[in-house]
Amino acid sequence: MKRFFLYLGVAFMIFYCLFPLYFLLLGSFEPTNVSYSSPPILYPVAFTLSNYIGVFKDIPLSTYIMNSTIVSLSATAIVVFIGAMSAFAIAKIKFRGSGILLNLLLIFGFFPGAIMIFPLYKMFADLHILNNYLSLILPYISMNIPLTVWVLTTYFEQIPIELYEAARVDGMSRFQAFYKIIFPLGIPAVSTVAILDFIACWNEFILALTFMTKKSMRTITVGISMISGRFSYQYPWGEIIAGALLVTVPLVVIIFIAQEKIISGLTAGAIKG
Amino acid sequence: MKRFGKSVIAVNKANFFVDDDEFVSLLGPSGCGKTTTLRLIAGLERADEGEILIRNKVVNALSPSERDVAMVFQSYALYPHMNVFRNIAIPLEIRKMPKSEIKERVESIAEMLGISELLNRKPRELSGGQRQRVAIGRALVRQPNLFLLDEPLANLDAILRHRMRGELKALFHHINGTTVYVTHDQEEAVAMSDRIIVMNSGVIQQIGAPEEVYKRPVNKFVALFVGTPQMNIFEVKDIKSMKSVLSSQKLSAVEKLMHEGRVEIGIRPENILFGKGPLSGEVSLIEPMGANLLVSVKLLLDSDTINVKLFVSNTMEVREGEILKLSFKESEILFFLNEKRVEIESQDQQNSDREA
Repeated sequence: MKRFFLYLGVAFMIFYCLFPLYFLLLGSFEPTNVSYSSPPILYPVAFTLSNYIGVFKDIPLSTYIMNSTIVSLSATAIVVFIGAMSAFAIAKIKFRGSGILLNLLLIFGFFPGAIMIFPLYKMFADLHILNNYLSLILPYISMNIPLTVWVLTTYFEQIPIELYEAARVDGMSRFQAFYKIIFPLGIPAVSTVAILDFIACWNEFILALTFMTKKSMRTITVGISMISGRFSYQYPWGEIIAGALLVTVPLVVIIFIAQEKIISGLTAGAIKG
Repeated sequence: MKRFGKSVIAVNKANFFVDDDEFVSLLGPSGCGKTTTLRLIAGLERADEGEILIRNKVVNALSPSERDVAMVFQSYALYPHMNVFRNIAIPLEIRKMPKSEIKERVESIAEMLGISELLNRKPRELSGGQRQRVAIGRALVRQPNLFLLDEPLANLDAILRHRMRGELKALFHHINGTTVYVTHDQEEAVAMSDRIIVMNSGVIQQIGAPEEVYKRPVNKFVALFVGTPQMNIFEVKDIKSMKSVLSSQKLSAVEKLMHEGRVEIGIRPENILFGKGPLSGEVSLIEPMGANLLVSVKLLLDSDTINVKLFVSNTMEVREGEILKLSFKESEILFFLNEKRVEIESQDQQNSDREA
């Protein structure tokens, strides 16, 4: 009986999470008048690819995807690199103020990104890096550092300190101990946090909208929002839905690839038992 | 300061020195500072005061990687993402040794340790004893200034621990490495070491060869900590009760000591002879220990009753409640004044020399 309620709950959660996706998927393959009908039709009645074709016609989708990829990948790579080293230092090297540093990071993590827009805009304008990938990569790095450092610190702390000490005694420098021992053992956490960082960068909207004013520099999230349709009175819901789905495809692919790489229980056997 | 050989080590307020190729144990109960001492030597802890010397060089400011010592951790600390070969090879890789030479060395070490077939396995696929060997292999693969072993046998089961004890001793004897071995197991220390350093509460109690530490402990702590079963120690409350135990010379010396403080007498179980003698007591407990029985006896000494343990061969028939005749081997009796051991023999001899 307990089992039954468990499964019922799980089924409900799955439905709750996946239904919007199903509705999007349905709508993206239907003409706008069908998907927008009231009451909504929850099963496929008509099929068309025109929404997808429309998206590619309306906006330079590949350019946007490329922009998003460049910005997100570089930001993620740098965040993970800096974040992993910071987390390693906080978790494994004793130094004064490491706890304060960690708490400061958390506080900065709570900073609403939107209030940074004006000062950043001014700064990037002075630096002449508006409409430059750097204007997004730089703020994305600082926005994602706190979470990254926190997650990785907790994970690195679980790696037995003896492994680090053994590495040092075996003749490794601190940095060697980091990249030969601690980092490889942290890969499950590193890839998880990298995915989170990547998603956050990929989905970020406000900064991307503000700092990338040239059409050729837009990221995909901003690009999709710019789909306007051929007539001002007709809002092209079908195309927007198709665009939104297309945006999520790379994320889903990345998560599936990364999931296979996440090998849990990697640390089993490190110490006795 | 005393100096022995080339490797000189001093820790905190306590000084000790390890000879070249010597196998020295740091022995003490848990929390006595022996592991900290080892970590100080390795450079994993910084000394607040004092100097640590390795091969006559002060190493206080050097990081662990610069000290060229090898350490075996209690938890083995094998790198879980590397196979056995790489685990052993990594100290050499770091030192940029040519690949072919690394292979040769790792293979010879693996053969020596009997883990040649395991080289491709990951640590999690190994048993406790095998992991232990890999950890030792990683230390042995290079020729460091010093081997540091932190309770390497503590996580093994009893049979394996005994076997590895012998193997380790033979191994370190064979390679002639200077070794500091931390253990809380006095049997292990006695069986393996050239010298033992007994520590308690961060202070070195005694440094000496196993036999010396066993036979001539400097104080009550060492006397009780080294040796199983423990030494019998009891307080002399009334000198009259010692009449049947001590010769008249010693008796007078003990009487004098009693004016200076608390006097205790210690005797190891094997030095209590059974069958005949001036003492008699009632058997209160019999614990079979293989070839011997460990017999607890309630001994009546004049007005005092004391409990002592002694060995009786298992071929003898002893029953609880039985009255046994005993005698103490007088030459093996130790005397403690306020917890510190005092020599009485020498005083006596001096006196008799003077008299003569």
